[in-house]
Amino acid sequence: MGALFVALTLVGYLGAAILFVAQLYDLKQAKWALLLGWVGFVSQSLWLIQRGIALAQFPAATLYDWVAFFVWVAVGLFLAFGRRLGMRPVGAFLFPVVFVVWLMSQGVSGNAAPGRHPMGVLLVLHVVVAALGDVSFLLASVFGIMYIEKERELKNKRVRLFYYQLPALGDMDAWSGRFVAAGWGLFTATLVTGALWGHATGSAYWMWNAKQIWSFMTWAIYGALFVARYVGKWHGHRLATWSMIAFLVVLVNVFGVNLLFPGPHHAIL
Amino acid sequence: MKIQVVGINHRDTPVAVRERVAFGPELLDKAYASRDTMRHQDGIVILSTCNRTELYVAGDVPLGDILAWWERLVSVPRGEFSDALFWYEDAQAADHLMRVASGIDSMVLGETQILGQVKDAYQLAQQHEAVGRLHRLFQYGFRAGKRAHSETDIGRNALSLGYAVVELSRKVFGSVDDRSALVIGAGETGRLVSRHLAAQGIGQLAIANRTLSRAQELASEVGGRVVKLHDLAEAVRESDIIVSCTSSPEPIISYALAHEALKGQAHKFRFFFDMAVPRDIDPRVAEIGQSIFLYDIDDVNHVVNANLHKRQQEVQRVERLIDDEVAQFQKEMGASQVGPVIRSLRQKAEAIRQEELEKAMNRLPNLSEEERAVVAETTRLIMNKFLNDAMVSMRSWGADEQKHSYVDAIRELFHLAEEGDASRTQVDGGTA
Repeated sequence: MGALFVALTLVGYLGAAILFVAQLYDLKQAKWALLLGWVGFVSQSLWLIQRGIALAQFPAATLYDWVAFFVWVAVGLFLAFGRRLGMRPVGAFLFPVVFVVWLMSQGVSGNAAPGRHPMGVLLVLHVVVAALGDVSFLLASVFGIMYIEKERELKNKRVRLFYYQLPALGDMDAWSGRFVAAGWGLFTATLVTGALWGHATGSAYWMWNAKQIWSFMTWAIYGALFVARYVGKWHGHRLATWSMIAFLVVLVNVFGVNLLFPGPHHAIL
Repeated sequence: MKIQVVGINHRDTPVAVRERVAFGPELLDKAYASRDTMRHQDGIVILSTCNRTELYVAGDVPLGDILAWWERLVSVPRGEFSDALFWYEDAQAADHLMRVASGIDSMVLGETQILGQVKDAYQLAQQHEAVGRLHRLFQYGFRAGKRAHSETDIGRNALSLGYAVVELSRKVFGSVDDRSALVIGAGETGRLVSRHLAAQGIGQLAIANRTLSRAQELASEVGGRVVKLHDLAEAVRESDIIVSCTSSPEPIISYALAHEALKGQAHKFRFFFDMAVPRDIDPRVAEIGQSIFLYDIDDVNHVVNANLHKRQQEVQRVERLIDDEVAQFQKEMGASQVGPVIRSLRQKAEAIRQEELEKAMNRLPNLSEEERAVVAETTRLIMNKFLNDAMVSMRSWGADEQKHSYVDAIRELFHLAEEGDASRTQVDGGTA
């Protein structure tokens, strides 16, 4: 059964990624893209439930589980609010990214590294806010990519696909800024809950291990971006570019640091 | 029942001819009042705009009669416009109306005004109770028009310079409701752009012009304020959208002026449109900040051309949608022709059965009530079984255009009366 859910998730998200790109060219594909998005999302929801029951805990303790949860949150938020917020073109950029991220997570072992603590309430809170924060960063970068592409067409005065299909530059800039702000707040909460949990398990609040250093760096970059946006009046191109670069730092944090360095976040391939 | 359309349009007829054979409001009233002089017509709708005059007629009216009626009303000999006439019947007529209503037959491809004009024409005919059998045709026409605009991009994206300025601004700012625009120059282009900006709900509009009285005149028309040319730097600073369209031989917005005006604001979105030849705005203004956009008249024209190309690409999708609607219309028309024949045939058979049953009962007075019921039921069953295959076949003809002539054959074969005339069918049945 689990294999079936995984296969349907694969088909759903891959199909949605292809058809959401296709709907930029032909609007009629939009409803099929959305339908496949739902197929993937429902299958993944069932998989998460099954996984939670099998592990007898919230299914986000390992990198394998957490990335699946992260993708689930991203897709769920898009399906719930995307259409209402007029963000349909976002699907064309979001689904290819979440599909690749989800596929990468399938290469990671689902077994926890030795010596892992069981999930308590604090840890559940930690992984949930971490997922929400990273999804915000992902959306900020998606709006950043879209912004850069549309701006390129407008600057080059060669109006093509993005000129017609993507939202106004000002709107994308505003969304990117909002998601940076929301993500930074949530990431701050992630660091705080992480430190509290570390303390609760008998170690120090802060240990300056690789994960924490990288996380602190991520927090500082987004903090700087937040300040630049709302105090320093950073807009448009610069904000868009930095929201993309900053998300690379997040990706390294998730896949690089967790796989390479030992510690409570350590994951095995 | 035949549906036909005969008319002229902008494609084949110059305006000098179109204006002579068009129907103004008074002539339309006169035409509808005299519609009964056109024999055999069973519904008429006249669509007359600057670009077309089209007569939609239901009923077996010879083309010559329609033209004679038209020529009498407009007092122009038909020889003077008959060369340019088009004439379509049935499915082709439906296809034509849908093409017109969806805007793909218009001079400005995909424009939406024509759909309103078709509706107005229909409503006027309705007021004169002249629509008759054309009712369903026009419902299909409206639906095709609406679908074309909601399901395709045929009517989207600007095709005029004035509207393209608003569209480009929207691509940057989103809504223009809370934006301010400055139009420099109150000449023809300035007026055109100002009207478009005002009509699209620009937040604030300022007009600058060398002759203040002309600026004042335009400002009061579009609900804007007047800015003096020597306050230009400040006006530029306060505006999100700056459109310059003067006939000045010297640049109006130099690099130095813009640089000074935008000091400390280079990060903000600003859209400059230089609609003048020679150019009013120094091209280097675009380099002041990454969020500053500058389009000259060629750039805006390029966008308009790209938009036109995009609309042309949509024509095929509209045509597919129209094919779909025409097929449905034909099916409905077919079904509406078969239905009355089926009813007439049944009524006739029933009338014969009742008459013969009555005669038989008179000859068999000793039958009990029960026996009478059995005989009556048997005759009913014989009739139903005999007619059943024919009914099933006829219903299937509704969708098949090639079999529409069969319907007439059945009518002739069984001497069936016209639709709705049940009493005549019964009388005929009685004498058969």
